[in-house]
Amino acid sequence: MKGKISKIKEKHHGGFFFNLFYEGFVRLYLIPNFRRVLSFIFRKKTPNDMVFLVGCYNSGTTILRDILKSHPNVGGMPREGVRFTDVFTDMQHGGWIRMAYHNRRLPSSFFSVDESREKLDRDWGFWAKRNETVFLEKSITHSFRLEFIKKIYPSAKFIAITRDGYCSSEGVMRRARPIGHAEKVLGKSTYPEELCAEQWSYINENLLAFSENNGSCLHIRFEDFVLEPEETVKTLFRHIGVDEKLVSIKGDVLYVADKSFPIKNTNPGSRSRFQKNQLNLDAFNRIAGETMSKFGYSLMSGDGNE
Amino acid sequence: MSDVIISLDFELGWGVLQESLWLARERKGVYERLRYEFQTMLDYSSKWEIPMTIGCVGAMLQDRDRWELEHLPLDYRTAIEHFADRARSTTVHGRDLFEMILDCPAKHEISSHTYTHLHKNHESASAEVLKEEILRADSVLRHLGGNGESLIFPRDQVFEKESLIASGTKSVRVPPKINGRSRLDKLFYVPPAVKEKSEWGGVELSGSMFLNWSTGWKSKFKKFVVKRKVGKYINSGMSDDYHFWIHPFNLSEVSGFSEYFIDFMGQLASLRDSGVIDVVTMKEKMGAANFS
Repeated sequence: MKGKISKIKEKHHGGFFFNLFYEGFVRLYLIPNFRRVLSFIFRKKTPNDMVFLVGCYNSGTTILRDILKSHPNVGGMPREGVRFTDVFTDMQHGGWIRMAYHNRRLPSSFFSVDESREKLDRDWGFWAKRNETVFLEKSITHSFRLEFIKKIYPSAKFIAITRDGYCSSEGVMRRARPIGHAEKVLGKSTYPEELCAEQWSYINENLLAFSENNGSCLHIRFEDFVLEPEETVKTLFRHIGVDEKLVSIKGDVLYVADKSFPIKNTNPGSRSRFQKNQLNLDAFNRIAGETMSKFGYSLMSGDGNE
Repeated sequence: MSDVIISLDFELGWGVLQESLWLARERKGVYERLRYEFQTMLDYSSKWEIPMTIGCVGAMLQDRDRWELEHLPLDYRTAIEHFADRARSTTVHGRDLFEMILDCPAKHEISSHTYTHLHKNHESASAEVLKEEILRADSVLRHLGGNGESLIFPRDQVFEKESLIASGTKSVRVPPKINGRSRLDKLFYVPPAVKEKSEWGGVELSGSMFLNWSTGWKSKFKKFVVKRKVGKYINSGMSDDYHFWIHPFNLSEVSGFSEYFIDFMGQLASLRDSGVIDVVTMKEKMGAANFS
């Protein structure tokens, strides 16, 4: 319980009662009918310059979102935007938690582009504040519907992040559990390496193609970010059009305005866990090897060599 | 060993485009929820390796600007345009669902359900128009990766032999053969699938039973009958072949049907694994040499 409260406090940066109220409100806002009631009371607002942060699961999107959102001119929502709207199809339907790849054939939305824009302005616009010139939205599943998002918000900017496939997939296998139909179909409560490799490959090939064809998308690697956090974050702030001077670094701690973020390269630990747990490297390499090479990641072999 | 065939009449709103039924289904979110239910159903078909014959409406798989409707009489063409103007994309277009089928590791047969689901008793239907309906659907399906040779008639209304001969059709599904039985007797009877050489030169495979209990006040009774009939079939010893068919949109329209159908596939898989039956597609069945 204590741990939960301190987690909430850390998330919202406020006092106990404020946090309690805020967290309660956020949870209520997840309910579609509650949002509908609020939409009658509050006027629809168009969020400011939209920025979408995308990447595969466990690729550092959350830490990056927190860093970017700590800039006084960058706002956003307290959860992934897909949870605050019913515009997008549920990519985790059937219990495919953190495995949206399985449902990649679902349409992006059941609504047209105009209907989606109208609904998103209502659902997301609620969180937009006047002093925040940039509205940042991070949802992993947007990685599957980049073109559709681009049609809804033609002037939006995108930040794509890619992390070593072993580390990203190891995190999915360790932290995510298929439930319901997914568990029954797979016949076990963990995801196989092949599926994780397919998901990682599919998402990152998608991001690569999108960033190559769209100047509005800046594609970075998690490894470059942890190696040079200050320079990377400054580049990102330049890309989204906010002041970069608020960024500084002391040792391993990155500062943005008055907030601090310890930066740590967790890749070596993830890679060794992948090997130590005797996960199927051959299957992973066969499926994701080519994409790994494209991004400059070395492949591991079963005997521990790279 | 007896064979079991499952076929799907895959048509979204096209089957009732001149009636208001598609609108009622659309308002209930049937065609949208179908996206989820269909993926789940395919997942299980893949897990248990249950191949099915999926008869698709050709125009449903194309963008509207690629439709070729010149062969249709003006009134039906206008009805289609009107339907496409009013209906949501998920009611008219099924390319996303088709991609799910192509991705599915189970070896499904992707067959024809004609180009626009024009049925034989429709006032716009003539032998020439129906021939074009078959040819155009074949062309679309071949282009998109269809691998089937079978035709599933819209509303199970068998086309005249002229259109089947002229279109070069090889095999079709025809209605169940239940003649000579009283109405009460028919109620709980599951007729075996009969494969016959037809007088038009192709092969006909009759259906056994349409799996569905629909919605409304009769649904409880229908559900009882369907479950009773299928239960009877499962325990029958399986000396004959059987052919079941469904409408995919029933998976999301009819309460409890999706779970029931998944369970049914599971039962077929265990019967197959214990060597009692084999589950095959229409194409595989038609290719086999034996005839009734």
